Amino acid sequence: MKKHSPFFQKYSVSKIGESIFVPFVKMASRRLIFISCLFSFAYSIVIFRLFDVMVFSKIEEEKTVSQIDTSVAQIRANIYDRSAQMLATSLSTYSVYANPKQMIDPKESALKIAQVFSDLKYEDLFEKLTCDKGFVWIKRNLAPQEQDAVLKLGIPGIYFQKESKRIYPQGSLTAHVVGLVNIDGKGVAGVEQKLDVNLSQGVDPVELAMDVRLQHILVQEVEKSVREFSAKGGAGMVMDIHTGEILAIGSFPTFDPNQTSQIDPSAMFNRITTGVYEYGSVMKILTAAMALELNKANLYSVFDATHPIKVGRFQIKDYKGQNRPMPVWEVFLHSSNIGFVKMAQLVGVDAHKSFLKKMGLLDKPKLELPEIGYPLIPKPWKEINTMTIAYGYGLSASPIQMARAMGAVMNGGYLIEPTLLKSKEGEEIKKTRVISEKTSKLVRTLMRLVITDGTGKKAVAPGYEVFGKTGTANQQSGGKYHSNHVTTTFIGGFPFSNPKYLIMVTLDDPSPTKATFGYTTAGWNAAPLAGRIIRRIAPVVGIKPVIDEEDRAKDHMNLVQTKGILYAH
Amino acid sequence: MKRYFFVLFGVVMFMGFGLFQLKYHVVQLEQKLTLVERKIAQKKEAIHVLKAEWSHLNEPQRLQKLVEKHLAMGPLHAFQLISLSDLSAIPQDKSAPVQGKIPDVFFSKLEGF
Repeated sequence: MKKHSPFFQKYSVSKIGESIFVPFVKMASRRLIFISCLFSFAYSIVIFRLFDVMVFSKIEEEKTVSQIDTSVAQIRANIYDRSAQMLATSLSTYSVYANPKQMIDPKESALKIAQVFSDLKYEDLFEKLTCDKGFVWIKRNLAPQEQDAVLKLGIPGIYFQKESKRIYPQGSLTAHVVGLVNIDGKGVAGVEQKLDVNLSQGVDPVELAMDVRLQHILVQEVEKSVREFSAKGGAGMVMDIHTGEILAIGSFPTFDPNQTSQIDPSAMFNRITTGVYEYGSVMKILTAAMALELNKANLYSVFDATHPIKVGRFQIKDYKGQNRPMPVWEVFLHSSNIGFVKMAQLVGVDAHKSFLKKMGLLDKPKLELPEIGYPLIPKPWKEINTMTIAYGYGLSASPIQMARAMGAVMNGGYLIEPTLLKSKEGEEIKKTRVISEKTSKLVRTLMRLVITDGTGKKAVAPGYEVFGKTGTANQQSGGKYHSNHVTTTFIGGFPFSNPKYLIMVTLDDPSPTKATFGYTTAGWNAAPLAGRIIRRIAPVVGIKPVIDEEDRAKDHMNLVQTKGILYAH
Repeated sequence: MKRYFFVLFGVVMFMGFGLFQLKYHVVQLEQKLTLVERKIAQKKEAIHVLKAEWSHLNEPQRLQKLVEKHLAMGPLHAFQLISLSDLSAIPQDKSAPVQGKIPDVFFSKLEGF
């Protein structure tokens, strides 16, 4: 040993002798082995873990806050019409709020903010910014430019919150059906309210049975008639009588769901589902169906309508009476009150009541809307009630309820629940037979007669074989009926040879005009309205018109003469 | 022993460096991923807004106004519809200019596009 460490020197001078080093060397080497084992073990763990991470473990993505922020905060499900036209959707917007406790200069901040938002007042803002809370909304759902402007102000204590705003791309067109949500995104009207749970989960979009094209035609024509006759309001609906799908449903006046602050609450009233009315002669469709179904009469049974019927103090008379005995088809064609009263009397009170019950007129109807009106039924139901209900007074029901019953009369005798939802392909439709195929056909024939030879002539739509019935009911107020205020209705279907669609329109208190020669009966206002709608929607739904070639040639000549060359031949 | 130590040290350094590189790379990729995901979300939202706008532009009332303003078209009349099988029943107008063959002029005009 040439060189000795201090350790060895120390011990070498201690004269303990060479042998003394042996246990130290042994101990040192043991320690070395121990430590290297420890390290190897530790490294092997590291290597093992490294191997594990690189080879075996799958990459699991952890969601960071920023990612959650950017994902479309879902968000209420969309609502579509039957051909995937968007009726309601949610867009994300930002809302601005303040933490007044962090405000340095509330006065200046309020001034600055008031300059950005013309609709917010300085006083209100100042009050908000000086209150003793940690959170106050300043404005919800900003436009992007507004958000930008607020950002540029750079006021401490002002924050943004991502929110979603419900918008309705079709505006007022589908307002009564689709409904509304409130500022917190909760449905408060229409389908938005009724299907709120499904929609707010945001899983599946809701597909309505509605067709915006038909809806547009219906709403536009109804509005036109309401204006033409200075009516208080009007409504209409189109329904597929074999599936119960409601293709169009419109009520006027209407509202714009995108402008919630300007909505007149009375405009939100849905006349088709909430309004209950007496329908006058339209009810005679059911009276006739009942008498025919119960074999109390056939088309040729004669009823004497010569004299008015006296009941206590008042009389049941005919409007423009024929004052003679008539067979059922003529009673229907001329809409004789007397004839129908006698028909109902022949059936009897109990059978009448149970028939109307079967047709669903005595119970609250079901529909995917929260706004559903209860029918008004006479209690107690006496003979006089049966007599007046036979020609359409004394029982009020919503148009949707009438449409359900009329659908059954038109479609071959099945009562089908109307629905606002598109029925899925292959889905079996729940239906209950309420009248026979034969009765249905007979009543349809009677209704066709009304269009060709009766009060419904103005509902004619060449080629589309409309059938239907008009009804004019005096309105009641203060327990009295007023003959100068009426509700006019047209219920019909088309095409006659293979009925598929039901149309119902009603006008509330239409006024007479020059063109109607002073009349306010349904034949002069509701029937032409229905005719216009059918003429426009039938080609859209793809019904092949049944046309006489001679008529076509005549029409072609008219077109060429009146409009010059409309299309080149 | 010494050599063994150096080899081991080298391996450790190498692996440490490798691990660092890997980690660094992963962090970079993650940032990229976040960025891409954010972009996707933004685009999705933009598409959603466009869809809503498209739907708004397709509002029938607006379309009707446009059609009335720009096109000489009106609601389809029942008399304008005819089935293929009925076509033979229509009398042929000999003086009509367009019959059967499509004039060449339609094709020549297409070249400009």
